Amino acid sequence: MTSPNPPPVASAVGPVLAVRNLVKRFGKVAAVDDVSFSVAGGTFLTLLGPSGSGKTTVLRLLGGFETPDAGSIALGGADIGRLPPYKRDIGVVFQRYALFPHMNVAENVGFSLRQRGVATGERARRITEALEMVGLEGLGGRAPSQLSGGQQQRVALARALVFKPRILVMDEPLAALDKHLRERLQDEIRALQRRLGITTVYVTHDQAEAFVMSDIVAVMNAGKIEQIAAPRALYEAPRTEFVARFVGDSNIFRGPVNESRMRLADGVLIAFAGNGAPPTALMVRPEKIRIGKAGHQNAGDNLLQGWLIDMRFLGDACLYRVRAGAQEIVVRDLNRTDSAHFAAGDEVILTWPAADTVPLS
Amino acid sequence: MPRVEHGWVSVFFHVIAASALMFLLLPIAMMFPLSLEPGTMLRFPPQGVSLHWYSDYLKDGAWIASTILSFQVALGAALLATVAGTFAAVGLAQASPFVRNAALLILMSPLFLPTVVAAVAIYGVYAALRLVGTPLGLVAAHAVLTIPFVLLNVQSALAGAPRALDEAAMSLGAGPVAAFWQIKVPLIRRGIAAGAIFSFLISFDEVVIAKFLSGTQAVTLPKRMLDGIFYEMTPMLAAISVLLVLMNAALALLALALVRGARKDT
Repeated sequence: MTSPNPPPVASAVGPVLAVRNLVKRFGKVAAVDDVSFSVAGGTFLTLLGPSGSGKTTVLRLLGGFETPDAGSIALGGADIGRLPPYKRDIGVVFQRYALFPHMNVAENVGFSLRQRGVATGERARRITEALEMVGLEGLGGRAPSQLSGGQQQRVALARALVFKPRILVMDEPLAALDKHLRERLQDEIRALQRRLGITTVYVTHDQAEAFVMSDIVAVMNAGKIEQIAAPRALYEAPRTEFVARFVGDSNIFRGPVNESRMRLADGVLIAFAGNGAPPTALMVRPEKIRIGKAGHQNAGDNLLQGWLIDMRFLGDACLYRVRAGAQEIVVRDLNRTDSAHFAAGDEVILTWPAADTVPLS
Repeated sequence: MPRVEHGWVSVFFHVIAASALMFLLLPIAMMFPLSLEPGTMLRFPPQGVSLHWYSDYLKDGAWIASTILSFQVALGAALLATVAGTFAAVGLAQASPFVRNAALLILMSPLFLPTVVAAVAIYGVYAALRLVGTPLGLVAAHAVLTIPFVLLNVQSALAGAPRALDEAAMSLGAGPVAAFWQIKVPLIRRGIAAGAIFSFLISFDEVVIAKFLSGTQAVTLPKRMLDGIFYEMTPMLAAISVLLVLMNAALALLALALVRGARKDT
């Protein structure tokens, strides 16, 4: 599923979408609290965050369904922050598809063209083209209620793209689908987005989905963007504890820091590759840690001794929970032929390089 | 509700239910034999079988004028209440809870205010405006009385037209007016139609306000029937009643079918 993400086609004229200092309050709560980001032409950007983090509100501000309390939204250089939705030229795919139940598939897809006064013949041609694009050729006469969830989602996508909008925004479009269908549509949507080269802003709470689909991921928390980066950078170098915990699994260490060492409660020192301000915590990913039998010295900058609390066999890997001093550490060991096996109660040592220890602020 | 056991308990409940239905329907059913009486007295059983009270009604200018007036008033009131009630329901669905509840309380007040109180109040205002005895006055008063029924029907129909559909339409280039006519109205049309039928029925049957506002010029059918009970109680009243029952039953069934269909849509 991981695709080698080539950098998106660079746009010579700056970002297509530029959001500056956006604020939206509901009562006293700032749902969106000073959010800024920009998206280059053809880029797939995902807003990733837990529910209530403000990601959907950002999307609704982009769509024009909410009015910002402060800040600007520039599309192709022009401020659209105060335009009504029908003047924005943004294709929107809604969480529950929002297909018009009293219209058939073709009428749904052609709705935007009718609003724009596109002649009947041209309209029919473009509806057919859009339905072919999402693999629904020949289903134009069906009612939305006669379609499966996946097909309805495709209609919603065709409807949002048929009028050639300047950007496409999607609000958790796959949340209601089962896992297999969701993964298939992730690939399809991504492939379609690349082929059309359409700038896309996508909202999800599913980290795996965000990683599979996106060029850039913005992690949101409490109305703010915590970090915005390519998936790999986000995973390997999360800047905050929130990002480290929300994206992938993590082991977090705390303690006083002296230069590039942290002293844990039991006196053990953890080395990290640090520069800049002293971190408030350190993080290491479960799969970066090597687990070995006590007595067998593994190479590594950091070494912890402990005993195995329990082991979960996942098929492709084993997940170990290890008690080391006051700390409980999770280790993910790939299931290779030469992998050692451990049982609960075994004495083990854990090692990993300082370079894999990420300082968090 | 727990399933009732077969046996005497079941029989007992069936008897009670049947009795209740008889109690409700029998007086109305009685109108039919009463209307066939050939003489000038309301009598049961009738002394013969004749339809002449039906034809007398159809030939009587004053009665027909009242009937036509009632149709005009009921159609006018239904139209006014349907337009106002539909816009109110759609608008209030998007208002803040405080505004919505306050407005609903006011708009729904005809449901729990005694009609005679409303009638007296309207009479006072109309006297000053010289609207007593005019069809227009009756239309306006009846519209106020029937707005709650449009409001309730359209409100429940709105469940089938969620806000997301308006937003989808607008994102696709439809302005508020286009979104209203192309998305909202088609999706709530059954609720609107049901509300209009209820408004028509209520206005057509309404007699308390009519009693106050009819004057000598604008005498509606129920008002003339009420007067008839006091001054010339003939089987013609039974004949008119039978016709009214048939019309009301047909329209009520239509409204019920619309409400059912609307529920199936959502």
